[in-house]
Amino acid sequence: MLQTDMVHGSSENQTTSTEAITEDEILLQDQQLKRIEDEQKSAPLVGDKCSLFSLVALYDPDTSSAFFSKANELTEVYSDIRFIRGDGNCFYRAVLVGLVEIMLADKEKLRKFITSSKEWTEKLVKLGFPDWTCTDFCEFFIEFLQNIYDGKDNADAVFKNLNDDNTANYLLMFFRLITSGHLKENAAHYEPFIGEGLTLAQYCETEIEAMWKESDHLAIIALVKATNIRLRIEYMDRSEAPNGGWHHNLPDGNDDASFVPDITLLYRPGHYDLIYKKPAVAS
Amino acid sequence: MAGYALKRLMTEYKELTTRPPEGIIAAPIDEDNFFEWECLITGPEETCFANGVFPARITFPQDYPLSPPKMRFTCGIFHPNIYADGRVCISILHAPGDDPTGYEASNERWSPVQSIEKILLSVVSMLAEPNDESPANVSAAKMWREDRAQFEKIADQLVRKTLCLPASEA
Repeated sequence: MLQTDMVHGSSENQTTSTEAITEDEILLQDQQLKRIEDEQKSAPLVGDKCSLFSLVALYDPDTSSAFFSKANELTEVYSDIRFIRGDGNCFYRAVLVGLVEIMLADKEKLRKFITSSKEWTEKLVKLGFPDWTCTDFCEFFIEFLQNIYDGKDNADAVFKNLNDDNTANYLLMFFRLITSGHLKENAAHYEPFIGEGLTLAQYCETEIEAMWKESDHLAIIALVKATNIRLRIEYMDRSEAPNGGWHHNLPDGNDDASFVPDITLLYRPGHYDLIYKKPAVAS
Repeated sequence: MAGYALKRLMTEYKELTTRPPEGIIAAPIDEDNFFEWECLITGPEETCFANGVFPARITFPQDYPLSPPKMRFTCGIFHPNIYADGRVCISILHAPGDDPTGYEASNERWSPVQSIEKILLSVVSMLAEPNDESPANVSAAKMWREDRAQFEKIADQLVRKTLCLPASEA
């Protein structure tokens, strides 16, 4: 509030007209951003698991026939969906939630992930990430996992944390850091894919390590490698999928026959949600 | 909600007091409110701001360090990258994509692994080397470019003021 008053109250003899326009524009931009933010925050960070037919219901069979029929098709293979808030973090958040669900159900996988998270902490420092500002996020993430392992936090408590803005975003930062860490660790391999005259380090700092920045293909590959998961992405829009298919398996080079994904995401233009396969046997 | 922010701010305060960067003092104004800091920045040597001691306030959001703080000089400093009301406009105080004045893509931006110390050091370099490509104060940028002598005179008067010295003969 204080700042808004000051923008209007800035003394005229010191402020040129060009500057005044700029400040008004900034103010307008701030208001617009605030509106978008409020709209985003009306949805939970992580929705409850619900029937995939709730996705079908979002599309009108006449005006959005392509998405309507694709959503219907998905219900043949998948039964449920968990909607993730569209705030620029949705890819990281969807993977985070998917992984946490796996670890809640499998203590051995949880133990392994705690170990690899500890290894990541050391690796990040070695890669030159600022020491304690970076390790702060790592320690927070490891403590979160350890509390599950020790039985201090049950599934209800975990999902409460995943839906609390600050806790969830602190956890998510760990994923951004290891995504960036994987890219930096394999800089020679990824450097050729960085465009716009940026170095790989600059790309990581502006596109990966900053909150609310949407993930691109590099981020997706890097997080999959850093977490060592098998990921399938289903596309609502066929033109978005590589090779014109309906879905994409990661890491690359996995054909459908032998691939069993740990986590499946649904991609709708600009957004990721988690989807769940129907039980294999319905006897 | 603010628990993590508070913990982080306390850690940063401890770091800054045990290993203070040269020429910079920064601390919460009130130990009961870690979200509002005051700092004193010494003007970098061999610049027109040398010897001056410039007070500023830093205000932290509740979701710090996910979002960056805001910084405002409280001493009426005339500088291309500082608004007339004292607000500091440098890239590290903005998240990428948040581009009020169109910085170069390669400029250092805010990310949660940055720190107050990094911001303060960036502010010192900003004092030493104004960026007149994306000015917050257009008249200061214009004078910096076209009438350096006058710019330095104004800076010198401010340096004297911050040291409580009488104004020099203009």
